[in-house]
Amino acid sequence: MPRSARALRAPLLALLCIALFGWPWVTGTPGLLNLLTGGVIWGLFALSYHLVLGWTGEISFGHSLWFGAGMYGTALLLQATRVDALPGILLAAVALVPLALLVHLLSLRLRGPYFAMITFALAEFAGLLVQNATSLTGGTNGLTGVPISPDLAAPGTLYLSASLLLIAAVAAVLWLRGTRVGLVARAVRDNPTRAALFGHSEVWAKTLTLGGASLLAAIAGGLFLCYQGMAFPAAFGSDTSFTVLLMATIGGADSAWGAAVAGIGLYALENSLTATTSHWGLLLGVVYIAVVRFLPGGLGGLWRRVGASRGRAVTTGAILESSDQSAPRGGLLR
Amino acid sequence: MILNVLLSGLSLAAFYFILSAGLSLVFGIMGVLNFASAGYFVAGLYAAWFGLGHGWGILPAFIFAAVVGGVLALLVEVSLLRPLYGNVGGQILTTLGVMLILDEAVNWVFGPQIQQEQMTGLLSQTVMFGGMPFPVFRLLLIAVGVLIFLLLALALRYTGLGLRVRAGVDSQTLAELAGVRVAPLRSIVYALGGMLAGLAGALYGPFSGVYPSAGLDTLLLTFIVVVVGGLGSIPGTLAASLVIGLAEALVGFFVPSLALTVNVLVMILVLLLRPQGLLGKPPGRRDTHAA
Repeated sequence: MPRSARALRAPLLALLCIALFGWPWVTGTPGLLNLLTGGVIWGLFALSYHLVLGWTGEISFGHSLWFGAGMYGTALLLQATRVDALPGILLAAVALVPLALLVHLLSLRLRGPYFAMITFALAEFAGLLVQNATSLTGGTNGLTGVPISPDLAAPGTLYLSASLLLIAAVAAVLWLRGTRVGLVARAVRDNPTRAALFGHSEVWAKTLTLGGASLLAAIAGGLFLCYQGMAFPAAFGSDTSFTVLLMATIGGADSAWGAAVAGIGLYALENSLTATTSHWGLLLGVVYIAVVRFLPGGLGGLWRRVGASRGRAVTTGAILESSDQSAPRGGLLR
Repeated sequence: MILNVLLSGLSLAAFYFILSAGLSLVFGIMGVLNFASAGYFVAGLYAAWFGLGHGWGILPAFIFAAVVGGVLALLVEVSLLRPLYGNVGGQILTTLGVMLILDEAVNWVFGPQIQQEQMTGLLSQTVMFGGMPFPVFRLLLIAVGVLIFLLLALALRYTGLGLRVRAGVDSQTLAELAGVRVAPLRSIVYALGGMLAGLAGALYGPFSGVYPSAGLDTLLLTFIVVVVGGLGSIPGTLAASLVIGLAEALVGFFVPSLALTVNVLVMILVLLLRPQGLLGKPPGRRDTHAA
C-alpha cells in the first residue's frame, strides 16, 4: 500500500471512532442508539470473521458456532455465579478458547471446500445439541431471565462497552498484522509449502488464528446476549454464519476495518429494512452475487483504489485461490 | 422387523445418494462447493408438489421437478458462474447467493407453511414385510437410487462424454491440452447436478413435507455424505450414502434420540482416520482448480 494511504489511515480511523461514539449521543434518539449497539456488536463479529477469511484464507460456514457458544456460555456463567456481565463475557470467551483450539485442530485436517463443510456440520450439530438440552438451555424457546448486572444493563453503557471493545479489537488486529504473528499467518496463507520450509507449521498457525477468531466471536456473542436479554438457538444457525461471511466479504477479505464497518452497516440495513420488508434473504442473496461481481476487493479494496489509483486490490477470490491446497503451484505449464 | 429397518435404511441411502451425487460431480469437474444445489432441491420439491397437486401422476411430476432443477442450474451456470472460473471463493459465494434467492423466492410465492403432498396412487400404498406395512414409495426410492447410480457409472465409464468428464476431473489442464473443451462440459455437468438436486427434492416431499427451508435442512446431510465419501467420487458417494443411511436407520430404530448424532460421529471418525473420505483421492493430487 502506498505511503499516502497508510498515513491517512490513522486519522480516518480516529474520525470513524469519534463518529461512532458521538452520533447516537448527539441525536439522542433511543432507536438509533439501539440499532447502532446491535451494529457494533455485529461489527466485532464480522471482524472476527476477517481473521478467518483474510488471515487463514479459509471459508468457514460454521462461525456461528462460536457466536452461539459465547452467548450460551455467558448466559450459563451469569446464571450460575454473581460475576458482573462484562467480566462474565470475557471470562466465558476465554474459557471457550481451549475448546476452540481443539475443534480447529480437528477441522484443519481438511482444507478448502472440505473445511467449509466440516465447519458447517459442526455448527449445525452444536445448534441441535443446544436445542435438545432443554433443561440447561431452554431448548427452542431460548434461555430467558439471564441476570445482567447494571454495568451492561443500560443501553448507553452497553453501546459504549461494545464500541470500545470493537475499537480495541480492530487496533489489535491491525497491530498484530505487522508483527511476526501476522507475517507468519500471511506466509502460511499464501504459500504453506514454503512457510513450512522456514519452520512454520500451517496447521498450528491457522489453528491459533482461528482460536483468536473464535475468541472475538464469543465476545460478540456474549455482548449480543446482553443486547437481546436472552440466548436463542438461532445464534448457531447457518443464517448467522452466512450473514457474517457476507459482512467480511463486503468489507474486503484483506481489510480489518472494512469488515467492522460492513458489519455495522449491514446489521443496521437489515434491521431498518425488516420493518418494511420480510424478504431480507432475497436482498442478502442479491448482495452476495453483486459484491462478488462488482466489488471483488470489498470496501477495503474500494478504499485502496480511491486512496491510490496505483494500488492493486487484493480480492477475496485471489486470497482463497492462492491458499487453495489442491491448486498446483508453479509447475512446467504455468 | 429388522428387514423393515434395513429397507428403511436402504431407502434413506438411496435418497442421500441422489441428493449428494450431483454435488460431488459438480465439485469434481468445477471445484465448486455448490450451495445452490439446496436451491434447486427446493425448486424441485415445489415443482413436484405443484404437479402432483394438479393430478399429473408421479412420473410426469418428478420429471418436471428434475427439468426445473436442471434449467435453473443451466441458467445460473451460464449467466453467473461462467465469468468466475478460477475464482473458487467467488464461485462459492455466488452459489450461496443463488441458494438464498431461490429459498426466499419460494418462501415469497408459496409462503413459509408446510404444504401437504398429494399422496395418491403408488405414494399411498404399502406392502407387508414380516407382518409390518412398508410404503411402496420407499421401495421405489431404492429402485430410483440404484437406477441413477448405474446410469451415472455406466455413462462415465462407457460414453465419450463420460470419458471427457473423467479427463476433466482428473486434470483440467491435461484434458484441455488433449483437445477436450472443458467449458461446455462444465455446463452439462452443472445442469445434471441441478437435475439430480431437483429430483431429490421431488423425492423428499412424500416423506417429509413441502416447505421452503427443506433445502437448508438437508444441506447438512449432503455435506456429511460427501465428506465421508470423498468429494468428486461417485462410488465414494454411494458407499457413504449406504453407511450413513443404514447407520441412521439402525440407530434411529434402537436409540431414536441419537439418529442425527451418529451421522456426525461417523463423519468425525472418518475425518480423523481418513481425511480425504472413504474413496476420495488424497489432497494434492488433484488438478480441479486450475484456472
